[in-house]
Amino acid sequence: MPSTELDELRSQLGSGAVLEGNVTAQYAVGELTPRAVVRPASAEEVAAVVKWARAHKRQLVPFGSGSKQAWGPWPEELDVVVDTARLNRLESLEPGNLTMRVMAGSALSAVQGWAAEAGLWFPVEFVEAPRATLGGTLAAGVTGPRRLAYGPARNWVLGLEVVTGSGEILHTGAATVKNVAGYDLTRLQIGAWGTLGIITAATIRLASRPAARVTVEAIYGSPDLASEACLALASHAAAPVAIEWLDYGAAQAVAGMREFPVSPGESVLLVMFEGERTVVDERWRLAQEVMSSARSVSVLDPGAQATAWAARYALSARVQKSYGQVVRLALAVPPARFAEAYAAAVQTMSLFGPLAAGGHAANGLMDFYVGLVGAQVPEAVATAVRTLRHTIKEMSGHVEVRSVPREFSQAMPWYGVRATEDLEASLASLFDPDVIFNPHRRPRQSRGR
Amino acid sequence: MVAALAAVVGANHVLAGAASLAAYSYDATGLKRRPHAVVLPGSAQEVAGVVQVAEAFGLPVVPRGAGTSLSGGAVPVHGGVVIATSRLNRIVSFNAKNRMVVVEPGVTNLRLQEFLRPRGFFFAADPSSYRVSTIGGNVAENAGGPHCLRYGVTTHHVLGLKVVLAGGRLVNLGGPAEDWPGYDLAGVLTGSEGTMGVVTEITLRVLPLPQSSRTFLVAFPSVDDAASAVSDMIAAQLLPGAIELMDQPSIRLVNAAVGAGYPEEAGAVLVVDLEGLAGEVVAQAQIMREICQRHHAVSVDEADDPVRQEALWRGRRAHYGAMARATRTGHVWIQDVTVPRQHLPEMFRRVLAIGERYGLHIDCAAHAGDGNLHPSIPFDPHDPDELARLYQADQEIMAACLALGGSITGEHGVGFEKIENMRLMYGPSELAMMREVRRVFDPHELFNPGKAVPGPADEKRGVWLFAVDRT
Ligand SMILES: Cc1cc2nc3c(=O)[nH]c(=O)nc-3n(C[C@H](O)[C@H](O)[C@H](O)COP(=O)(O)OP(=O)(O)OC[C@H]3O[C@@H](n4cnc5c(N)ncnc54)[C@H](O)[C@@H]3O)c2cc1C
Repeated sequence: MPSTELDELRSQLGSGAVLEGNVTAQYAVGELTPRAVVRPASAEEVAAVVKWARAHKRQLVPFGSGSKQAWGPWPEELDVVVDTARLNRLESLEPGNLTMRVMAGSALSAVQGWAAEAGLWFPVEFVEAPRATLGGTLAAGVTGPRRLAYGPARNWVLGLEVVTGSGEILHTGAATVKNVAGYDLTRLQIGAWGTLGIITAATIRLASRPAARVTVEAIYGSPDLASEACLALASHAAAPVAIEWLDYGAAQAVAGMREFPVSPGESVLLVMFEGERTVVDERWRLAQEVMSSARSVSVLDPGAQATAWAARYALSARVQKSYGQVVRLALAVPPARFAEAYAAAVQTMSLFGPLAAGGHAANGLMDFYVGLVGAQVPEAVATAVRTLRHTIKEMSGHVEVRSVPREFSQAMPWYGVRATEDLEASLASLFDPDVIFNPHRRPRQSRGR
Repeated sequence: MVAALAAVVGANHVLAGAASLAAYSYDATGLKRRPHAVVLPGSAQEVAGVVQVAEAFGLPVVPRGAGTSLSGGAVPVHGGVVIATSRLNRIVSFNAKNRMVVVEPGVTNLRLQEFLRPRGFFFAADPSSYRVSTIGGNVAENAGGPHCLRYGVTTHHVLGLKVVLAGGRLVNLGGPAEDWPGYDLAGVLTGSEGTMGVVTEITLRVLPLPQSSRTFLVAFPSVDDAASAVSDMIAAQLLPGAIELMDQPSIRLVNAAVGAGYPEEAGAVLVVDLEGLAGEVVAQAQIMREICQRHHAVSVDEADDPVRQEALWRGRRAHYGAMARATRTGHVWIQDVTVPRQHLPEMFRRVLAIGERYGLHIDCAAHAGDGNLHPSIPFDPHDPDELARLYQADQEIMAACLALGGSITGEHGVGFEKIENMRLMYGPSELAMMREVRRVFDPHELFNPGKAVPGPADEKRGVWLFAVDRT
């Protein structure tokens, strides 16, 4: 990249905001080091970067904390990373409206800190990495175990500031909890993986900070029994806020952090209740009536509770560490098919190596990890994924490939075929006509170049 | 054209007589425009066929549920073929374990709730029009309702949609599993007011009924006190199922109309539902009472059996109907502004001041917990002076709401009636993007033209009020 090209950016953003050379290594995406990193501090500066990229035909990868850059296909080239770290200010906090306006590069932990000062919290979590930014989390559309009670990330965002691929700054939504003026461009951006723009700020809803928390750990003889319990709990008056399920492989993978007392074939459930102290106790007592098929049920003391959840949150990192080469899949089915989906995944993937799975069972969502032992052929894994996808589709669900080792990326069927891909491609072309943002994540039909 | 439509849906499901066309020419706003024909398809395939015929004849397609839209959403302002969903009224499937129900769009909200209740569930959106409004209309308007305070609006519960797009193309958006891959197309269609396609099937997540619920009717000396109490309840992080507010004129109106039995001398009442575990409700009630006391509450009535609870709700639910009946002309203009909740008391003050300034009678009811106000103004469409004042007052109410960081519509939608006001809320870039997003789904603006999003600025359309039927 000719240095005059970057000088243009330096003159607009200040020289400290444009990085080249060794420091860019920490912004590697898929083992590729960007040619430059820019660090804008306002939506206007992001817009300037986008206009610059358009003029010079450069592609941009928006970058929060980097915690989810390894998800999805590996990029083939990497021009410029847009680091959102300097977009990190709280713009306003309205305890009287239970809302907050915050810049998108803010870490979720910072968002929680600000909310906590008002006795509130933001129920969209990315438990794998608390350093994750708000913008990255919303772009990925992920949330944590408490989605059982609070729903997906999209339900907690009232409005966004987004810079499109034409360098325009759009304001979607409003600071009100109800708003039906015009089309819902807010939901469209969430989960779009930065292909429809760079989110620079968000107005988010906040929830009451629960006073007490109790976790019940239950061991079930089989995934079927565990899943049945999840389904019963999810519509029970006890109203747990989270129900996390772990299979034996997952329990093994996190054994260094917490020894879940499971044998092969068994499942662990972590059932969390939150609220006022007295109410929480009433909740878990009520819940026992639908947990009687468990081999063991125990209420965790505060220390055990903390380690059990820390272990759950560390699952992905632990699996990666103990298995080395890992294929990570995301399965989703109607909740009643959860155990069946798990059985299908085990059957299809076990020939490649050790397996581990965990997930929000009552929502029908599962992370499924396949350790690759020995020299596996990418095409064989790809074929297995297609087979599994077909089976899961029969269950009205879907399978996405989350991450694979680099040499597997090319062969991998990352996404299933969707009949609406042309519509998605048109939307991508509308928001980003020159394919500037995250080209490796674009809907296939619009990838261009 | 009638013959071509009849070939698709059968002759007895095409209406083209003058009386039928008149019957489908209006919604709850009072605006009237006749369609060219009305069809009542019985399946998604028939909907697709009808769309193809309309396209071939170069006519718009206007989807229609129960016609209770308060924004002109269901009025065929450019004529065309009205697709009424009354025959698409099957509850297709229900699965308690999945907490999921699949319905056709013509199923009414009431019917769905009555189906779900004995099975231990409910659908979160409960618009005051729930007796007649359809799930298709609820989805198209992203409807709210009193209990959306705690449980969220329609879009929070839509998992998937089947939609007929231009060309009669039938697509599935989202689906029965969560985190459907790709962009949230179902989320874009929800609230799109029938301007992108015809929804033919809806997959909803439903919620378990709360173990216990208790209804309170709290009377206050003034609207200001009541609204301040609401703000404090939100700030205290109380999470009631619903907090509804009615002012004194509204109280007297519903007392006269349906014998609601609300305290006549009160400046305002709140109807509050607390829900959850029994113990939780008791604890919340304590906090709520303290807040109400702080704001000079004069009386608290409460009920925990369904019959008495319904009695406390009766007045609130009857408000709109009572208002329409009480006016000489039957015409009531209902605003739907929403403000950030800390500004609720201030917004009430401004609305009442605007009413005084223009010599208009304004009744106020509100989904107060959501910051969503419905100032209601009876008017006479034959009185040009009153219309002009109403128009001015209406513009000022919206300006006041926007000045407080609000939205010009919290649940009733933009439709035809607020289309020009969209420019007050969004800039040209946002509006242009919305127009383009619509064209991704509906390239030739076949579906419900003239609704939801205004054209480029020079394309001004008429003011709806002056188009209201004057007969
Ligand atoms: C007394 C009264 C009280 C009300 N209270 C509330 C309230 O509390 N909360 C609230 O949100 N609203 C309320 N409303 C407004 C209205 O009832 C809602 O907007 C409702 O969702 C409309 O449903 P409907 O079946 O009557 O739709 P219609 O009025 O027939 O249509 C509304 C819109 O939806 C489109 N549409 C309908 N069906 C389909 C379909 N199958 N596919 C695509 N588009 C479709 C139409 O084209 C139109 O744009 C109230 C109205 C009245 C008269």
